[in-house]
Amino acid sequence: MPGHRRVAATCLMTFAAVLLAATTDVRAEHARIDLRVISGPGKEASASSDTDPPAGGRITPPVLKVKVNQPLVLQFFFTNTDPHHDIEHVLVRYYVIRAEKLGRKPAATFADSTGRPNDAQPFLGPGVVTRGEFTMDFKPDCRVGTRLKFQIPAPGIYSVRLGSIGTQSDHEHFSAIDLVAE
Amino acid sequence: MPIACVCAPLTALASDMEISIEVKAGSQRVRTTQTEIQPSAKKPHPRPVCTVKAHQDFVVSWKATNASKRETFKDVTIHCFVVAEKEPGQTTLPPLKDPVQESALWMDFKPGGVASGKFSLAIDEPGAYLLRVETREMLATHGHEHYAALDLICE
Repeated sequence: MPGHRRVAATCLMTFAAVLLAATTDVRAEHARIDLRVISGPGKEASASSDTDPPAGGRITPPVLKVKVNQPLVLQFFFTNTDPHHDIEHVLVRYYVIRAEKLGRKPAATFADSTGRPNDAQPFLGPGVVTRGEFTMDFKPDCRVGTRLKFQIPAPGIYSVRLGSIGTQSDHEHFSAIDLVAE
Repeated sequence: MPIACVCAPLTALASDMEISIEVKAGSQRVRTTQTEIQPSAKKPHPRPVCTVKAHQDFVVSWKATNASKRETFKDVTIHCFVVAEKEPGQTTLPPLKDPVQESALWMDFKPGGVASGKFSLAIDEPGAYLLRVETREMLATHGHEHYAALDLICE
């Protein structure tokens, strides 16, 4: 880690500092993901990186039981560990969406995900609890992360998912957690 | 020559890193119009205000652009947060304790390079909140940081 970044990581006790301070070891995979949903002290589910295809990946998402309208925190760090390529305009997106079943499932498709953004299409469609995305240029070891508060509005099964789109690879990386709201 | 001397720094300040934020809350749409620089001897412009209702979803979009034609800004962190403040328009930064939302990305900005973010959010507690998108890690190499900000009034 260059000197100025080490200094910044020491001075800034914030999420941004945590992002900068993330370890920089290079692995064979193209992405390292730490996705968490936190429902209270010591109560959380976490998931690491899976790949798509196959649609829905290979890892069964962990399940976290939560209560309707309980304050929850979604947190993730996504690190590009591809040591060789710069890739422009990569989309990193996350969402919490109502799901029909627990377990592996394909990524959700949103009406505004294809083509140019259209103001007529709502960003939050039916069943979407929260959603976000970043468009950025990837370089080796670049990172993105988020921490946000949210609540589940009604009983049911919900899928929390974070993943990349447009990395010009034969696969994308994602991570998923299932929530059961009672 | 005097004109060049006066204009050069102004041009540089106006055209390096531009940050904009837009909030859509129901039929309301509020945008920032200024990229502020920090540190600066100038008082920051008044922040736009957007009123949202507690528990009601709204959508935040932001964009950060390297408007320089030649310079690449390396290892820039774009930091975004929504955090409670004492009153709208306060000039001191509220502590980043327990923000409603906080995100950051880290990348290089080539000339014309852009990063953007978009997210939905709902605030539970009525009050004033600061929504700010800022650069970090540019002060040492570039001499200043950049930010755009607006106030959210949650009713």
